[in-house]
Amino acid sequence: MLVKVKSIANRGIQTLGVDVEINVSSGGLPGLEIVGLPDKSVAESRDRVRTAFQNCGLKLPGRKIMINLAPADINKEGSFYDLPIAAGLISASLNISLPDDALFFGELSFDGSLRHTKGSFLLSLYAKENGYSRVFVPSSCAKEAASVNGIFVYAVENLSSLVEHLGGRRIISPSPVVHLQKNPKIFLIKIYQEMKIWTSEKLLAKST
Amino acid sequence: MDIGEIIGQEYVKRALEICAAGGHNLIMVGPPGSGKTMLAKALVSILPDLSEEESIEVTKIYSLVGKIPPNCGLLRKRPFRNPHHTISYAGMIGGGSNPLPGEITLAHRGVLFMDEFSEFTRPVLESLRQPLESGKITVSRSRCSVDFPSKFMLIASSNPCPCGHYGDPKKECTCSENKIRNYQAKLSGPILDRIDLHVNVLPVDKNRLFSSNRSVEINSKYILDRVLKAHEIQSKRFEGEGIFFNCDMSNSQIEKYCNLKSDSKKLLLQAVEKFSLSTRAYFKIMKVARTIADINGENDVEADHIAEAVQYRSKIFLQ
Repeated sequence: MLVKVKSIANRGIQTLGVDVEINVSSGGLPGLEIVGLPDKSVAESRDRVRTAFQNCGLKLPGRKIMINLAPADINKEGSFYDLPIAAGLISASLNISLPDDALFFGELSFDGSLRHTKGSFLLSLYAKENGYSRVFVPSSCAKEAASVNGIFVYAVENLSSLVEHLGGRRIISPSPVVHLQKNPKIFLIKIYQEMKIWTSEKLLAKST
Repeated sequence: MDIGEIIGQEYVKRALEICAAGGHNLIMVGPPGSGKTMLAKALVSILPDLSEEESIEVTKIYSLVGKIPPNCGLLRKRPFRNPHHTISYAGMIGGGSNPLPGEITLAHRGVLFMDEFSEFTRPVLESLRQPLESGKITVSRSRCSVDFPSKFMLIASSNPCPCGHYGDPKKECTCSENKIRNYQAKLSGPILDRIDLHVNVLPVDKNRLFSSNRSVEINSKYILDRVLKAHEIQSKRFEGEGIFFNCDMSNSQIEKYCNLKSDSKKLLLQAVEKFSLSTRAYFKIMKVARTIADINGENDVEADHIAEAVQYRSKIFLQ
């Protein structure tokens, strides 16, 4: 099973988009591996995510899991790939679909809570410039991320609350949008309708 | 700290006001204990907050290096960076295999205060040339090359000689001529030429320390109001030009916005000849004069604005 999660990479003050691809193979020895030029802090993400999953009572699929950070020719640095990897693994193991206009960003702690991570403002700016409407960030970064106009910022407290949100059990309400330039009402209504549809689909899927 | 707390030094306070209003660079030279560091720190209190556009630029940089505290949104205060003189080359201009910004980028749209300017190592000082001129720095490594913005206001302070008393009217300098020359040679011509205002800071008259007659009316709020007015004039003038302050004007913009009358032109040419100033210094004087006119709220650059601007180029202990 293949899941794609969107995140970013920083090069100087330029921000590039990164696809975090997670593949859970049907066979093979159980294990988790990251490729795509990760540096030490990204490679260690493997252990943080695995431990956080354990401590939150979540189970990783007992098969070979490969994670690719594409494009594979750019060095990836920083601890913020924990959340996109975790979100992808939740999606793959619990069979939940992720919103496709969202970016994920944040460092995981061993207990599953999210730590303050540098660079969330750059994430929101990138989201705005490239047509993403939602970002998922650690709650202590929410204010920094929300200072970009017109982006819905989901402040994630810990891994369990992310699972509940994605599963449609308890929705994290996005941080208030600062101010929007063009036709704010229509935009807001559109987003909330989408959110509602998405949530009800989730609930429906759960009940059936 | 309020600028009104500093006793005397009205001349330097005026220079700081001009810096704050037009984004100019300043070097203060004077004996130890004359208040150079205090004056520089008081500059923060007369700087207006960042505009929204500037704030986004600054927040971007601080977000990248993780210097935004938790639960904090856009940065509003102008950055004030005060690196120690033992700073490395990479620490100053930025570096690393995946380059990170250095002090000059962290001081973007704010103040870079370099205390003991002549104690910095030569490569660090010379590396300031490109950013001072173009407002950005290119950090090139084998893997990649990145541009960082670095439009900062340089405030430097230095002693005139190793003992610090060369040119002091009260105390005798004990340095040999050779020592003074070596000390001052650290500040190369090209660097000094790029600094708009040069001022001498003289020791405060001891009698004034105890007098109750301090200038209460010159406090930070009073100066800040005038700086704000000057900023307003400039933002109106440069609408659509892509710059914010007088210090960013290109030569063609100087021609356009600093229309000199014949008497001011004559005065400026005389000064350039007398002090054998470079062409760059000539344009810098025009920019400073423009700022002085803005502080006074005047449309044209008059002869007395030029005269004041020339003062800041002509007198320094440095030979």
